[in-house]
Amino acid sequence: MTEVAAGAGIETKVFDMLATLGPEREDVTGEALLEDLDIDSLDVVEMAQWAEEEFDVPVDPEKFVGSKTAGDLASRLAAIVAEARGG
Amino acid sequence: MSANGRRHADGAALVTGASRGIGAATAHALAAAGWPVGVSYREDEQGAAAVVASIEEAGGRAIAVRGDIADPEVVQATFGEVEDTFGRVLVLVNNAGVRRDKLAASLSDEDWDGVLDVNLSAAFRTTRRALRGMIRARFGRIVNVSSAIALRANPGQANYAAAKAGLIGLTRTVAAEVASRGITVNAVVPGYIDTKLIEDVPAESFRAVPARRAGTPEEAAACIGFLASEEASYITGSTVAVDGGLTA
Repeated sequence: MTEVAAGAGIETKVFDMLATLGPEREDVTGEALLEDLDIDSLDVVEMAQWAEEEFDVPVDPEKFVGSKTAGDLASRLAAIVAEARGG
Repeated sequence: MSANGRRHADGAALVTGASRGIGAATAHALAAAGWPVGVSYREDEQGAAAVVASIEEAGGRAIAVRGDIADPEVVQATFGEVEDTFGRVLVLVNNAGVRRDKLAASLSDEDWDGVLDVNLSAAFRTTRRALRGMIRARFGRIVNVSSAIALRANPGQANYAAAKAGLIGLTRTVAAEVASRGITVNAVVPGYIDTKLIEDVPAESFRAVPARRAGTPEEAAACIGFLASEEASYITGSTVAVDGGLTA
């Protein structure tokens, strides 16, 4: 799998996961502001915990501090996963 | 609701300092409430084994996990072992405590740091580690075992008092941070409880206690067990004294 395709797969999974925390799935887009989606910092901690289980890599919630959009979360997570897998 | 009133079939309880005293009694109480229990201890292997054996005899489940909880790596390893065996830690009781009494004027940095490390910093690290799973589960119970010394001066215990008062601050703040996720964080304030920790306390000290006696570990554990229960779901950020009226 290419890195781009892996990142895209992660993005969809992250958006699906974020939709389980409250927002409508169609509202969760790359540009959607976390504030508008009502995703707070504890939700981000929860997402990090989910990501550890989903991708089987350590995910430090601190790495997401400052994220503004759902896309930010997904791209930061893709980078964490790629790094942990030596990619 | 499952047997013993516990709805979270996939979770576990972790009690630090559980090889004797209040920790051991708490491990028993949580096991009786249906939780599989991680019995964390530092030195007393025999004591921890006895706690596990008596929980198992009563039909419960428990494992003993050895290590100095003041060591951050031990926190990770302890959670790893409990989670691998029983699943996510949904009840955490920070009970591990040490005393190194001296007047503040002659208290060494080592005596200060050593007491703060075990009694306060370890509780923060276990809390941080536990919260991630609790947030995901949208359920959690954290009980921090503070002390009457946090509220009432006892010369010679500046380090212990600071750590135990710090636990109350930690309790209240974390409680506010995670209340929206079904997680409660409370502190209990034992007074004189008949454990190894007070074996050198002179009997006349109990005259200051309105109840005129020391409490039993089971009396402290009963309060902790209640705060850890489903029923205590609207109690959070509280500090509950179990002290025979000492701080009343």
